[in-house]
Amino acid sequence: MSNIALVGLPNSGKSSLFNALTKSRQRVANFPGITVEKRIGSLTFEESTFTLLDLPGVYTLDVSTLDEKVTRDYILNKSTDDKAEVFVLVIDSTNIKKSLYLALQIKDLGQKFVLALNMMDVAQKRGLAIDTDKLSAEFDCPVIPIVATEGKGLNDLIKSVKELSLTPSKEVITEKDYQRQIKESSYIKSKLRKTEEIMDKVITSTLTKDTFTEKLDNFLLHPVYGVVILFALLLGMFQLLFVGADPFIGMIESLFEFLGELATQYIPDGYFQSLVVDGILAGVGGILVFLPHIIFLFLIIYTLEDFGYLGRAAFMLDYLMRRLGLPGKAVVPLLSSHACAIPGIMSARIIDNPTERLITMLVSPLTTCSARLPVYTLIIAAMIPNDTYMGFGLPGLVLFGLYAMGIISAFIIAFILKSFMPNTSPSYLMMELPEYRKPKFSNIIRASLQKGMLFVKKAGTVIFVLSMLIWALVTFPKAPENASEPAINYSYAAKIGKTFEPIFRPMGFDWRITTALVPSFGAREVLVSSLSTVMAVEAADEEEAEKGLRALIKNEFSFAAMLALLVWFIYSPQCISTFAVLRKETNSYKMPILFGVYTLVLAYVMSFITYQVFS
Amino acid sequence: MDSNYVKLSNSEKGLFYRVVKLNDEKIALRLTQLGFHESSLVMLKRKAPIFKDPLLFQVGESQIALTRKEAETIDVLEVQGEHYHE
Ligand SMILES: Nc1nc2c(ncn2[C@@H]2O[C@H](COP(=O)(O)OP(=O)(O)O)[C@@H](O)[C@H]2O)c(=O)[nH]1
Repeated sequence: MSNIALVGLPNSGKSSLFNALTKSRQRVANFPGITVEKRIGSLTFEESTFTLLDLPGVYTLDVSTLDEKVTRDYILNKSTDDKAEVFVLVIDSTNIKKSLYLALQIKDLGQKFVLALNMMDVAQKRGLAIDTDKLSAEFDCPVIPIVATEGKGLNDLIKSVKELSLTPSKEVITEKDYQRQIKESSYIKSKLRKTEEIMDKVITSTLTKDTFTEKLDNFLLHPVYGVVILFALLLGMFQLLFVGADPFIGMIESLFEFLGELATQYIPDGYFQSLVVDGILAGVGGILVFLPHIIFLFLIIYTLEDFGYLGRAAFMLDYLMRRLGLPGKAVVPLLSSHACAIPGIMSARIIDNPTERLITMLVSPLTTCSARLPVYTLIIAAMIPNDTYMGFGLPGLVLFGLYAMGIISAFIIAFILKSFMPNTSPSYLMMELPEYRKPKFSNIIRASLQKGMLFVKKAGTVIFVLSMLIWALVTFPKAPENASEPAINYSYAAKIGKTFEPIFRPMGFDWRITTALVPSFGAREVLVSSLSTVMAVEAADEEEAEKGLRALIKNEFSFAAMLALLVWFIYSPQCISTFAVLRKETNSYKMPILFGVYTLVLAYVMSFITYQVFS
Repeated sequence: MDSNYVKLSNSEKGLFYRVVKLNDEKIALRLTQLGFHESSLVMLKRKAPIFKDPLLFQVGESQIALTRKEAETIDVLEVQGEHYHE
């Protein structure tokens, strides 16, 4: 079995080719030790099976980012993985000159490679003619025109790859030699000159202008319409996440409720039943409920990216966001985190600078996710009088204030983190805005589903284990036979709550609140039900339970303590899934720990201040 | 130094300029990769809405976005007689 690796400039159509060649026989993993995604697939051609690897896009082999280093090391045969027999250099034919530099470098290194002239459909439409024979002679390699999105030319491509794989390998130069080469002062210049020469020889008819992109940009980057459309799109994205994902989340929840009922029916009462219903089923359900948000968000992101809009959104937002300390693309994770921090953190991958990406991931959970809403509305309904203030309802104002505090805090913390974290690579915009292209939905859907699966695989175990732990804490030890209080009040959770009560007293929390906080680490909204349980609210249905709980809160807790609890929920180190996804995305325990520590300190200090001021 | 050099950030929309020098080592490599290298032909195409920053340049067949600060690091020379027609 031989290995083939795809290389190419960003946006040359590598992923499209990868998808077209491997269809569903592909998987996503990480390159060892780092969080750069590695896509591997397989394909069979005339009884030979090939393994296909999609390498991160690079402009040249002189690298500046982590992703690019992966590609360079691979081409230099430095990678510990299986070496590639043949490289396929994917070239955007409408921008061929830019790829020639990379082609020259790969040739210099001594790797066997094929040039795949992609996007031939667009190139031909725009009148470009390339003398492929001459190009082939220049590089001493096969040159195959293809249209990746339509699957055209793929057979010819594989055939030449196969033939090439059967020829004896050449000597690949060592990294030392390579480093010496590129340090020569005339290296870049001579390469650039060479690309000019080749261009003169092989281009027989030049490209006409891309009027479609031009016209669309006149509109989408327009000083007025452009901004209006951008905000409409961002709002639409948020709505779709918030409202569109809801029915699917409801479906998953109902399914697990149903399974829970089923289990309750067939398994006799006792620990085993509780383990299955409240432990296992709740744990698995708690992982799967994230899928709608994740998949929806990535469907949106990939569609915008494929179409060519994502970079333009970053272009328009960059100035504003940079004043706030983050790059333009950070808008996507920050906005999506208002629905849920999990997909938000995952979407931070679109940020190119690793430090800025990290900071965005660390502060995104401060924004008001939908799991906070049940808690906010409960406390606001119980504590905030329904007055109007300057024409606005007071409850609404408080809710707005909580949202505002979330996002403002995110920016402030980002600013502080920035001064602590060494920025390893220069923070720049510098990016290419690609031409607009028709999005290919089959690829978009596949990639979004892959994101979801990867989340379940990589973060699922951690979430599951932690949620089992929480289950054990609220379940054990058993309440005594003649217990007068709710069972949870005898559990470890209550012991933890009581132990920590003194620490939380300066913010007005008593042990009932601290106990109810324990299970809320699984998911914030659980506070509502766990507080009901701790306070032994008896009711026929949920609605009544909330009413009862509201009344109890009003009677039992002070206004200042409840304000402090609201503030606690802005900053608290939650939830376990956030930790799990931070761990997955950064591939280390350092970041989740840093997140836990800073949010804990912040939550404590802020709710302490709140209580002291208002009591 | 020739006084005709201007910073790319101060270039006029729709006129062609030739890159003379990249002044910031730290970003020179990436700029080169994106097409801004000595003697390449560039043109300011658009400015971002509202803040007029970042800027969008035509370089070869590509459209490249740079912040004003990044564009400031590039010295260019106006190319007489070449205009861009929409
Ligand atoms: N018209 C056309 N579009 C293509 C072709 N190959 C890729 N694309 C589109 O070009 C864009 C970038 O492709 P992608 O595979 O994501 O590029 P990558 O960044 O190199 O992985 C996407 O919108 C694709 O749908 C092609 O052969 N013809």
